[in-house]
Amino acid sequence: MSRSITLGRYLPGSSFLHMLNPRFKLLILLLFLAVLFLLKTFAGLGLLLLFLLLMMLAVRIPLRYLAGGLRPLTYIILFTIIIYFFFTKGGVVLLRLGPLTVEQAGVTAGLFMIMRLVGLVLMTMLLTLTTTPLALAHGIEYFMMPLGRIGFPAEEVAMVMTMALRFIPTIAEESQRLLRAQMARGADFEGGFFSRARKFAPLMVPLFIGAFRRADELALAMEARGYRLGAVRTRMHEEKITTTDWAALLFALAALAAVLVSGI
Amino acid sequence: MFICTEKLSHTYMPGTPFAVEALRGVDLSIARGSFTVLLGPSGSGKSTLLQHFNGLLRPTAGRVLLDGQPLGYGRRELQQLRRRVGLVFQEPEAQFFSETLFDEVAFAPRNFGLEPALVEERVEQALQQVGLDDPVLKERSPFQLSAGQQRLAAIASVLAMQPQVMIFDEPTSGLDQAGQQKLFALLQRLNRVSGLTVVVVTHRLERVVPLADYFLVLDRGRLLMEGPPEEIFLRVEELRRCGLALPPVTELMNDLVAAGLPFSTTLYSLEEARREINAWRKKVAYP
Amino acid sequence: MPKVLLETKKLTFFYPGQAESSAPALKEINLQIEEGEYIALIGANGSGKTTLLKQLNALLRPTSGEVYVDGISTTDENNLPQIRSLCGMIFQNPDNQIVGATVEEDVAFGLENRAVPPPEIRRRVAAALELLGISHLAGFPPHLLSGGEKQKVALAGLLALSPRCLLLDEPTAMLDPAGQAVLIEAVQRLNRERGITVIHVTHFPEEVVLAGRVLLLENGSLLKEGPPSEILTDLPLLHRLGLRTTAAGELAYLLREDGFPLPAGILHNRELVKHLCLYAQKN
Repeated sequence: MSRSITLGRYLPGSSFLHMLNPRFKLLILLLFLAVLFLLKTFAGLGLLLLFLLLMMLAVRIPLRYLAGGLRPLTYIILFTIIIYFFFTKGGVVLLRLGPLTVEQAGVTAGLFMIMRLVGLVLMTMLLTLTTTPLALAHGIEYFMMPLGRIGFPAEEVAMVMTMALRFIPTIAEESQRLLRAQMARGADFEGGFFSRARKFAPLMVPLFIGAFRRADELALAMEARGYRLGAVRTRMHEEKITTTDWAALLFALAALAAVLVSGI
Repeated sequence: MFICTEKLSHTYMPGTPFAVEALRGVDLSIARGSFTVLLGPSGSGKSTLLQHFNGLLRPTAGRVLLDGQPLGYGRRELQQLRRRVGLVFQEPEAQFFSETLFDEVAFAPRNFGLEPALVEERVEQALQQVGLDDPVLKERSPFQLSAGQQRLAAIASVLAMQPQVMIFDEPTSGLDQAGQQKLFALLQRLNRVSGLTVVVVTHRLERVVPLADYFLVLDRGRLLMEGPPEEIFLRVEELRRCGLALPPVTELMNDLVAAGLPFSTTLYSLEEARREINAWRKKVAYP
Repeated sequence: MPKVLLETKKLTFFYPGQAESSAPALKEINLQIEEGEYIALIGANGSGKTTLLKQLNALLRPTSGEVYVDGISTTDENNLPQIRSLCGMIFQNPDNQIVGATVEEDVAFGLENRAVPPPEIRRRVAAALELLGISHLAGFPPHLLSGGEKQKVALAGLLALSPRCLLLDEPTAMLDPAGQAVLIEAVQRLNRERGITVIHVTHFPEEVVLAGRVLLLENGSLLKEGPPSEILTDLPLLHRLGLRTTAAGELAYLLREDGFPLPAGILHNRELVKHLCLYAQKN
């Protein structure tokens, strides 16, 4: 199985982050996102990254997961470096390559951008590694509820999200199986992106046909079990709110206030 | 020996909390031209093992040999290997994507860059082998075939590579009785007439045991037994302990022997049992 | 006198879009099934087994004729929720009927759909898991379960609704022998101990012999019905339809053809063993 899957995967555990109410976790993530983008100095950003790394250790996430989480972003990071290093001008010229120059302001801005990116990845990982996808979907659903009043089908969207989460592992397994089955018939999926895209049909066609058949059977099974669109439903687990949730939220608010006041 | 594994181990997602040891030090060998059945409860590592035979998976430790040569995992070596060792997955018709049966079966030979004339010849031969060589069917969409025909077409699409070994993972799953019978007749033809080495994973022993000459039994990633049927099906208790069923006729003979009747327990087909019981009757009635 | 739970009267069904001139998927089927019965429904592929099963919990509804579940007609759309609480269904593919992201969420699905209060849901989910001996799987995501475990989860999802009837559509076709044995044992126990009616579509003769009554379909018509000892011993008929009987049944039939003095109706190993022992003693 692919190793880059670390991003967006749940890691079972029982740390305080695992125990936080998903609604609160989402709010706290939003507050920390604001902090990340309001920070103006290397010192401030460094402090935040240090804090996030300490959190990773505190909730026992192996640090090599960070490498796994960053790997899919390799191209974005390279791209950021090129854009900022070569196209942001100002300050001392550090490097001259023919007509191109790398200047101090570019390097500073580029590094700052990459640190923000790493911060973003760290935060997402802290959220997804400690929250089951289902709890996350319930959290999102909670914030969509008010939209129900203006006719937005919040319940249905939540059901679709839950089902998608339920079937991602199944469909991932299926595509893995299809890939191997076609390779056993001599299909060669090695090579660059474009040569791979050309060989897409033997994978995508069966995957879609399979997904449609699955959807058909699933709809029937749901109907047989009494699911009806628009009917009133209840939920097995009501999510509890504890003092830890409030404490964590207050901490995030305090962090945001501190950044705003000090301007670091 | 044609296919061998030496201390073959495979771990999925090693070094993560999701790591699963699917195979643990498996040593086995399969003879050229044999009809080998691989048994094991679900989760015993059967599918993982099959995928090592044609290089779809790489060993975490140990190695796999084909015809005395250790497998190589370079791009070209793998292509060569997959031509020699055909693997038919469970419910293989789920791989169909072409507009016509002809194109579906031609997929593999085209992947190996054969000339169009040669591709056509291979497709004809493969369809003939499975009994679908009908000019009308050939132009039909593979999705319009009956369930039984789809299974045969999927097998033809692997046979078109003209491999020396054919591996089948649960080839009869989802087929009705008539379809199962046809399928096992095909496996027998491939082995006896075309001389292919056949390896089959299946739970439906009643039809396959009379065809097979060698058995491998996996349990929790280890090789529990290997040998000819008359050795394997004597070890009734061990088989039951890992959740495997005996062929129904063998089960019946075991029950008769347990009741004190003088029969052999290593019989697998109704005809054998019928002969044995009739012979016994003559002895009892006219001593 | 046990009461009739399921009844069809001249049930005829054409699939939507199927030409009226073609043969119907089901043709004039008259059935009465009593509460607590264990029925096996057999027939070749395409004989209408699954179609008939879907009629019994109103996933499909008659083109003409009537289907009654506990006296309620499936023709009236307003009766559907009630009918589906009475008759739960298990499908062949374990993967495509599990809706929840964890086992307990899935078992709760039917109760959630009926707006049962959360504490009551938790109680009934726990009880259903306990009854099938899978409480330890409560927090598991379904893709980590074996096929047999998935089918048990589906069964628990039905049991949580306290159904009176289980409709099983080849639930063991994709399982290994161990998974098959465990599931069938659970279904038998529910039938025996709780009096739940079972209608079981299957290709396996070893499962058919467990039924009290066998219904044999051919091309959408009810060809024959009776106890397994009657249906499964009519080998010429079964072979014509491409069906099989048990190893003991098949062997007893062959031996009788060879002139061995055996009674008709042998299906189980123990019966054949008994008669061969008797023969040995007599001579």
